[in-house]
Amino acid sequence: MLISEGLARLFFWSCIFWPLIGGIAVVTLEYPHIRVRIHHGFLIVLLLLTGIAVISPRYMSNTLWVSDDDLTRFARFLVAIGGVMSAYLLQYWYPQTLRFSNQDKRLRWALALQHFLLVVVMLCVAVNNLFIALLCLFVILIIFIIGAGLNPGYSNLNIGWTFFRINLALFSFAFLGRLLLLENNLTITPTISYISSVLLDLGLGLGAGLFPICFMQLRLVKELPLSLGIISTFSMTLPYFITLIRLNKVPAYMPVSLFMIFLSFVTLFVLVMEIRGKHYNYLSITSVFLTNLVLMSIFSGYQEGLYAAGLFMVALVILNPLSYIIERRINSEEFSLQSSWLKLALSGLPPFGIFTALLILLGCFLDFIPLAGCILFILIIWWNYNLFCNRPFNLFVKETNNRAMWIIWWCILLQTLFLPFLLSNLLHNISTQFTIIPGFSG
Amino acid sequence: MLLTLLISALLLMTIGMLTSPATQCLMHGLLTALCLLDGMTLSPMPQMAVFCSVIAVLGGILLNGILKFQRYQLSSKELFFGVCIILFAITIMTYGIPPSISRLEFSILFAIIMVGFLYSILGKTIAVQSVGTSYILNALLLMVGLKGYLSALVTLLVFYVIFWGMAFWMTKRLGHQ
Repeated sequence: MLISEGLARLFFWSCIFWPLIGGIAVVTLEYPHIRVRIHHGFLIVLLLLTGIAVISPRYMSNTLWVSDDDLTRFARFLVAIGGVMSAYLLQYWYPQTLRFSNQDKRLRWALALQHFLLVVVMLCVAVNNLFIALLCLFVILIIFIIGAGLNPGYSNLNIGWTFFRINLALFSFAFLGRLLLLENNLTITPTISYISSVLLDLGLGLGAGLFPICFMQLRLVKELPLSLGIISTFSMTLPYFITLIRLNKVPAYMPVSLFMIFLSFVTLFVLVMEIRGKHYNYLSITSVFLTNLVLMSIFSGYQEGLYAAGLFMVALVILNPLSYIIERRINSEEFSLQSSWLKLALSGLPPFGIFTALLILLGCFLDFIPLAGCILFILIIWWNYNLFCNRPFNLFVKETNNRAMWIIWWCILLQTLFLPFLLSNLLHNISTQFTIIPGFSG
Repeated sequence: MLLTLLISALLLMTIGMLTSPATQCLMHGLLTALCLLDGMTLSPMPQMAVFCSVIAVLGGILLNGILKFQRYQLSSKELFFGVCIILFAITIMTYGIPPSISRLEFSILFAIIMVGFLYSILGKTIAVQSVGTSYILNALLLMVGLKGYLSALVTLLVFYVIFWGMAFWMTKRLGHQ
């Protein structure tokens, strides 16, 4: 018993320390080809470590500020999968970014920052205290701004500064909300706990929703070096989602689900209208759509909603690096998207993980807010119409790269069959542990 | 009573503008420190209040140095929105909090944060943006120092340090415009 407990503790902390060692190794190593091998090796070992941590027994419930619950294990496993996926996608689509010469310090630092980012994300998803979680989220943003600063130029500095200011303001809203809730513990008044919950949800929810906005409006993600940008696409949002889910455990917190669902609908509509008619629309809209769906299902507060959010997060982690890399390729090389498999994989609809999650969420919404359910339904129909009817769509195209097709097949299989099957027990536990409103089934 | 007076002076400092952002930041930091030192007796952890006041003064001096050669102008539109936001914030918080001594302080601090948010997001020059951000951080520091939450203080300190760094970097690179 003692040995297994010690082992579990070891796995818990090695998820944080292992990428740290990897980052240091990437910075210090001299030979480029060994560096790439080390990079891949470290990520695969990280995946193994988090995988074992999923099955190992839990040893601490709620200590001072870190927790070892099912949510932590789930999120860490996802982050490790995303890390490995992004490394391999980079290897196949842009091999030149990894085989750089020794003189180019910029790319070496980008690769190291990717490892440090993994460290902070792994820590952030386990943090129990909202203030420390805000600190970790802030450090993640700073890593991105430093990464954007690696590219020389005036525009990315300006973008980084704007991004910094907006996020700092949002963080201070969340900070203020938590302070008010702490104050409210002594004399409980419903109005104050309502106001502070709105502040908390606005700060964190807008912060998470800002990710697709910065994708398109602020162009921060495009300014990043590729190796950092591809991992940023999910690692920026995942800690926000986990922090939002953990809010349900905060005492005196009142979920303001209706308001926030309304807000996410409005942002979704605004963004879809904004980017309609540009040539990269489907890929970007997919990210926006997925992010908003996760937010909506978290805010719905039901057990089924959280289950759906978990499935969405799996999809987000797997599809977002792909969509980022394809979008980048379209924009830089005017690559006509001949391979329809890519379109299929990126549409966000055919993978059954999302499909099931959508159905669950629809059922939840139709009971909870019928109007929202109807709007969601119409959106999905419109989506499919655009995807399948508006454009010529042939499934098998000869010029599709064989290797690329295999990777996409793997992506679809992973998040259609393997991951939902592997994680269903965990997801069920999470959804029962972190809900305030009891679901329909239990 | 003195604390309320000082915090009201802080609010005045926030909305009223001096000619240079450097002096504005220094004065704001000094006033925050004064509020903290005065409210030290109310705080559960007096040492933390003293520490926070040191941070506020240090921040004021640093920003004074960083923003020395910057211009500062607020349009009448920004000022008008600032006053409107103050009215709105104070009304909401006074409605929400039950009658107590700390009601006024809380609502004024909330108003300062909202005004800082406005300047920080909508400000045109780097000086206005930095000053707005420093308002937000000072108000949060005042709240944390008076209530004494340790983890919140740690987070806020990191916010401060990174903000100083960013402000320095940005004024050095983009400050000439």
